[in-house]
Amino acid sequence: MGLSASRQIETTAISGHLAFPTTAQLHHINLPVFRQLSTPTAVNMTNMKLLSSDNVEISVEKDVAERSVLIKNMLEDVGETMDAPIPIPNVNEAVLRKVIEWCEHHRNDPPPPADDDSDSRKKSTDIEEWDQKFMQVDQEMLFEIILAANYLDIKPLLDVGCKTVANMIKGKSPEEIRKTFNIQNDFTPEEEDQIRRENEWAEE
Amino acid sequence: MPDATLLREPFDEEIPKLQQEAFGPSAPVPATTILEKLPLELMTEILMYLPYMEDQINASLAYKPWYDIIVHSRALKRHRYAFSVGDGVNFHRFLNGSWLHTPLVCTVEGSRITKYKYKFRGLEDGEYSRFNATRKDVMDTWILDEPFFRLDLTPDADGNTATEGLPFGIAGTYHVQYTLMRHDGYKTATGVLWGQLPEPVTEATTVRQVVDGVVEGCAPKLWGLFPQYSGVRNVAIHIRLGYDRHNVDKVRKSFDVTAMAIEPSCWH
Repeated sequence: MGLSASRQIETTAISGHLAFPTTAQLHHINLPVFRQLSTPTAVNMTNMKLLSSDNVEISVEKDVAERSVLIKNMLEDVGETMDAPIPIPNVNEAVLRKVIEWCEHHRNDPPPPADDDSDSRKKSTDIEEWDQKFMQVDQEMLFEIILAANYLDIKPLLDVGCKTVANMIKGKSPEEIRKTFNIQNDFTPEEEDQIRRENEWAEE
Repeated sequence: MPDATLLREPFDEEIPKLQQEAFGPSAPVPATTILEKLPLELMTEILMYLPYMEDQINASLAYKPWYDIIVHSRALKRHRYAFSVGDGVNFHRFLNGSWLHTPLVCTVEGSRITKYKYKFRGLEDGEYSRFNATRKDVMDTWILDEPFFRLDLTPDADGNTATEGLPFGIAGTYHVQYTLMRHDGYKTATGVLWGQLPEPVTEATTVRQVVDGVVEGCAPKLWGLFPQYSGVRNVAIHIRLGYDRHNVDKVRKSFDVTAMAIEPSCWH
């Protein structure tokens, strides 16, 4: 049934009589991409603009931008009629473009579960392949993405960022961790002395 | 005439510019500075993905702000007390082992522990594996000075907590199963010992105090029992503590706390 409905929409769109499906048609479609549409005007295709901290305007589809809870709430508050670019004062152009890239790829993901403090979520550091490649950036960009995801309230992106950093810590000795993150030893001489003793690992 | 700046060491403030010239726009930035950008809640969020004791210990020793978070964060602490025996009582996972998998090994001289070695599992394809584990001495780490158990004070629907208003203690008895093994790993004797902990175990008692107490009590008995086994390399002991929520003189429940081996480096 869903398939025939989508075929019908395809046909009408091609013939030019109707550019977008009606609400009634959408209710008969099971494809997840269509389920998210809430109005016959298909607001998903609406573009909007974001203004980065370095004053660069970036055009983005509304449903992509709405992966950010901050932006979504902002749009709801102003009644979805915002023509002026939305300023994102904490995120520069390069980072914002990267965040948008992630949002575009994940635009159809289901919303994250409300119980985001669940410990079970923290147990797995598995990252899907696309996200792993996405996160192959230098450390400064990685941490900037985490900060941006936190500021823009994009929980799934924040999770991926945090898991990426956690995976860089996993299985490493203190010295290897310091090397990975170029951490200068910030322990006092007394603490350092104790750590040195702790690191004289007797391995079997 | 050569540029005078090329003939001297660069000043600190010039280094970023020189790095930029040398490496282009992606010049390396000291990561400590980058890490410092992260607020504490985000660092905590990252560390929450490290539920394993090995990673928590190593990360805490690498960077001081991480040490403070790992040792004091309630959420991370919860990971370390996941060994529940019910009634809102959670024991430290550091001691959670089984007869076959021995996470903690102590070296005992006389009746005193001189080394605490913890089995740090290695990573294999990103997952922890016991096959490439190494034992590392954790004698001086904070992990041994954490309380032996903690009470889960999450209130129930009526607002009462599981242990509210009740005196809590662990009965001072221990039950030790031991196995004596020779250098070649051959088991020579097994048996059971009962004993009394020198002090009652309360919320303030640390992991170290409990293990020290048990070893102090049982090691001399073991050495006394088997003076003839001069070739014995180690004694594996499996401790069971009596658990008594109401501090009544009765063991309500007993549970395996740890499996540990004693290596009597100077047997007399």
